[in-house]
Amino acid sequence: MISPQPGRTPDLTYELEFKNIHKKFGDLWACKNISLKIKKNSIHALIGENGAGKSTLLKILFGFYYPDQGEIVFQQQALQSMNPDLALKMGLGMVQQHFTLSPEMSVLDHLILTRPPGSVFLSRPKILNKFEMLAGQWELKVPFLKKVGELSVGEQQKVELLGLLIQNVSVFIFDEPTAVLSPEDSEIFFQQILKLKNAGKTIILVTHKLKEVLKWCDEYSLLSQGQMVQSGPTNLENFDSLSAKLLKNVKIDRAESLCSDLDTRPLLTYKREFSKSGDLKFQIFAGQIVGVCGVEGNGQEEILTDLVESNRNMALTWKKISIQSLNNDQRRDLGIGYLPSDRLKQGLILSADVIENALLADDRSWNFFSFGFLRRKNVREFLKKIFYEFQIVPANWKLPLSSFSGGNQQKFLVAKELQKKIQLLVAPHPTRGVDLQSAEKIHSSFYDFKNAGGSVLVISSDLEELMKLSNRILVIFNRQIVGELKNPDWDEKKLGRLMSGGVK
Amino acid sequence: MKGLLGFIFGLGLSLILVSVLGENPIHILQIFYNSVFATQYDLATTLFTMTSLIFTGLSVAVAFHAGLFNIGAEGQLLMGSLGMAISGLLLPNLILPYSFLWALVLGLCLGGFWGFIPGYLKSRWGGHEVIVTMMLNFIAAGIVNYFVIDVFQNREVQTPETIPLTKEFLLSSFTHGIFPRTPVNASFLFAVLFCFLFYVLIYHTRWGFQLRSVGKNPEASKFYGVPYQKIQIQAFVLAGFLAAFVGVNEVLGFSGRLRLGFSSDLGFLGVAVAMMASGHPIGILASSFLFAFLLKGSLDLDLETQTITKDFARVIQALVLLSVIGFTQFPFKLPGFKSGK
Amino acid sequence: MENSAFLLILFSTLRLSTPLLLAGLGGLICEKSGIVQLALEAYLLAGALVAAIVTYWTGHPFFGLFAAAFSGLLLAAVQGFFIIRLKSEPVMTGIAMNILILGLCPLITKALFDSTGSTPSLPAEQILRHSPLILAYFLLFVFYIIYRHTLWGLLIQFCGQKPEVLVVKGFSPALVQWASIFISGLIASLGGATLSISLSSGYSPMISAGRGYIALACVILGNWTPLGLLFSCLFFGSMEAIQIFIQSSGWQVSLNWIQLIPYAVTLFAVALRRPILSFLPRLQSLLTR
Repeated sequence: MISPQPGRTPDLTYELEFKNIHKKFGDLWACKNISLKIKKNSIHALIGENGAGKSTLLKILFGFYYPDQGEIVFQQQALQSMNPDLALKMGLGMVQQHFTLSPEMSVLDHLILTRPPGSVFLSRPKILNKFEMLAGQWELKVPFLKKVGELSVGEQQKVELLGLLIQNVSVFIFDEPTAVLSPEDSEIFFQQILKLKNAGKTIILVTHKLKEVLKWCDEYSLLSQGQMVQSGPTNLENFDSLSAKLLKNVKIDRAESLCSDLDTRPLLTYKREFSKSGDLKFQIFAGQIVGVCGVEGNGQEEILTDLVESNRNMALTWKKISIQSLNNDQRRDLGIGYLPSDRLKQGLILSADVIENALLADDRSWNFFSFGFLRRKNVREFLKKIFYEFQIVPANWKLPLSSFSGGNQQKFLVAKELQKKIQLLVAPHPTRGVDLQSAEKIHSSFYDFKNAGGSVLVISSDLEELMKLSNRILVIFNRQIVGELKNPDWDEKKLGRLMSGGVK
Repeated sequence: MKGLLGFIFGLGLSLILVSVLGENPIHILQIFYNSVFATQYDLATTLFTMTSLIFTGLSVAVAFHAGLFNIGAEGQLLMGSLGMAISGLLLPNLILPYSFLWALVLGLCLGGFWGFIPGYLKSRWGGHEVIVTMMLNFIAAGIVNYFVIDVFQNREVQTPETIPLTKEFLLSSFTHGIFPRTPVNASFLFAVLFCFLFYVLIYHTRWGFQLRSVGKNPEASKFYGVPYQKIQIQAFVLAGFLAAFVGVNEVLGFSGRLRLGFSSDLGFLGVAVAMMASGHPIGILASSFLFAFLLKGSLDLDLETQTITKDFARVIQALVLLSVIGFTQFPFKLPGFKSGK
Repeated sequence: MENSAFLLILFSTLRLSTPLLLAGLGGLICEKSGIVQLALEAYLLAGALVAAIVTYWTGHPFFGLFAAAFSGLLLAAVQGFFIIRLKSEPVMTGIAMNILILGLCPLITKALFDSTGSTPSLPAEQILRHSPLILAYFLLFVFYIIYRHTLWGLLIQFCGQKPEVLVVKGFSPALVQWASIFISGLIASLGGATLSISLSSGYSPMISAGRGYIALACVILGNWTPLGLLFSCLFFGSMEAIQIFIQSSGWQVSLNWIQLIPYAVTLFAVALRRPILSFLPRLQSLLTR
């Protein structure tokens, strides 16, 4: 196992340099005089909130946009008229946060597409051999014949990485690589990155996970609101000032409730037998935030589906009454609120404006409709209220929801649910893809809800978030609850071990 | 607006084609204009066609909003018309108002049923509504053929049509028609009224909102408890009802019988009408008039010129349709026929 | 007696399913690359008409075939322009094309032959006997090989599933789709040619009667696989063969209802596709990819 050695870069020349990059979209500065230097053979972290300019900068690098001013120097050569194909040929490769992979096609098929053989007919066994050897050189183990859709997120990421390696990329850029990885997979990922670095490659990581930056990266650059704020080697002194800078403008009210079980009788109980080796069961009490943590695919989806839809194969009780055969509408009437796990697909009508989205699962008490007819005024009043509370500032109410930032979208969904008279909020990945400020607002709204007597069930693979929010954490592995920890008995190591199946 | 551009472009293209065949385009345009505005009779006939197009246009539009393709308006209107035409032959001794109501109910039920089939098959079994409705069009044509020719044929005439209904069943028992001795009748007023009613229904009621959310994002609708399967079926049945109203216009309002071939392409043109108006009921008022104008004009071209025939009229309609399609970006995200789904 | 009836129906099935197979193959190629193909009726009609006309003029059915293929390419250019370039709605485009060709055909026959919609009858020497069948199966086989074992096939698969992957790897989905639609149109119109210069002796107005839609249904029923397409086409071909057999054997069943059989069967098949597939898991595994 290779351990990280921060700050040690053997080659002093700069591989990539952004010089005074300016880019404006209309009146909005996406990049204002950004100058950035990336040393060859280093692991460089690009940090900053959503809209800070990171993605625009990278888009300019790959030729999707042209800078208004400034230039980019790659391997001591100024870049002219860049386009994505040229970038790849020159050795610049990027792994996006949302992979460009087709779930129904196999890994091998994707790699064939990446480096097509010269012959007319594909001799799959020969090609497989070739790729296996290549992958072996980098110690990358990938199930070549499986369909991409059947792979875990970590494995999919390896496929993307292998695709870049096949094309002799020398500068690897990863966008939020560990956003959806478990601690174990993240560790594997960083080990892989180190191997790349030791082989002479340069790596840029776009991330907001400061602990990882501190542990694995050599240098960092902090961007905010289109400008370069700070950059340098990663060490502890910089770390604290970094956190402070990232979390400015956020007021957090973290008054904890003193006792976590307001009522000794459970609000919600869930039990389902998936296999002979045991049941999946847990209880939620009033006035607490319960976190369910685990690697994706260990039963979280099933829990969510059972909580949302009716299913006779399980036992679900709400205040001691069985509700497993009730449908979603009826459960909502009982006081259970739901956040969608995929807000783009399940939570929002992206092509519709915010008024229409507010109509989805409205509460009768809001009087959006009277005698079946829409009352637009009531909807507007409602929206004004929640926008103010949650600091949602859309440019124009008539715009479709697709133009809202991820943070605003999620805040909108959370606000809508919390306005209802609910006692339990089911919240899967509540801050996935959400900028830090919005995430803080969502977390504080959960606190307020809890302090008022409500409960929240947070299902997430983001350990930091779970440890911050929860009163209790349930660890799920292989469709069973393998551990239940109370604040403050937990730490990352314990949770990580439980999540990967180790015994407490 | 883009739809209008498409329409004009298509018309222009047709004019070019027509002049290539040797006709004077100005002369052609004159015929077009006269076909609608020359006499009261012309205007009335145009409005008569417009009425039917409003009904089929609304039928298709309602389905569009729910994310469904109703290509079956042709079959639905045929079944509706059949029901109305034979209602009097099944129960001839009814008197007003029961007679008219009976005709209406029978026709609407048949049309609604013809809409229910694809709605049910799509929402419960995932059957592609385009193929299902297409097949139902053919089957409806066959059924109507049988009933008109083999069962209820009017022996006294040469043309394939049913025995006429008695006066009690006709719309004119209620009204004297807007323009006397013309085809247009009170159904026209119904049609216009429906446009406004459906505007309110689709954009200002809870059901209408649910309909549109099912069309725009069925997953989110499902997540938030909108009964999207029920709504899909309701939308299709409603579409069937609307298409069946063509029968009110043709059978109960005008001819009092079912004439084979009266409806040529009304169903498909309904799709054109709905597309051009982007599914908006008020827009359908305009697009249905334009297409009625096109239909009447091209039929008159057949009568008044040597070179242009009924088939050519169809070509003109198809050209205009293609132009409208080319100019408009379809506003509804309809689920594609993705492989393996 | 029984035996010969069975053989008769069998051979009839093979011949009658040929146009469906060709049109269906065209539809399959299009669908696989992500284009919804509803204009098969137009290709069939155009191919039938052009093949009949050119065969009549030249006296050689092979010229008719070539001409039909060319007409298919022409139509494909139009369809491609709308769907790929203008990004128009594919279903409506297909149906509009069907209406257009439906209207054009009688005009052309009137202009060329002054007839009510049919082309002059072709003598027996100018009718193709077995070549369309061989051609259809050959093309199906070639497509299968290309689809599974060449880079082109991979490109088509990715294009239909997730075109973004092609873009990222430096390929153009639009190009792949253009190629697909041209090939598709070519093959589908050959199916039309089969109708007029193999199964009949000329073009007549009701020569297709919705076969374009039935061909698409075959594609769907076969779960978008070449093997499935083959089975569905054979099935529908057998329906038609049985229908003709019943008619010619003089049973007293109304012509009207007999003619509705293919539509009704298509309806049921499309409606019950999912339950059928889920009840026969082995069938399902045969019909994947």
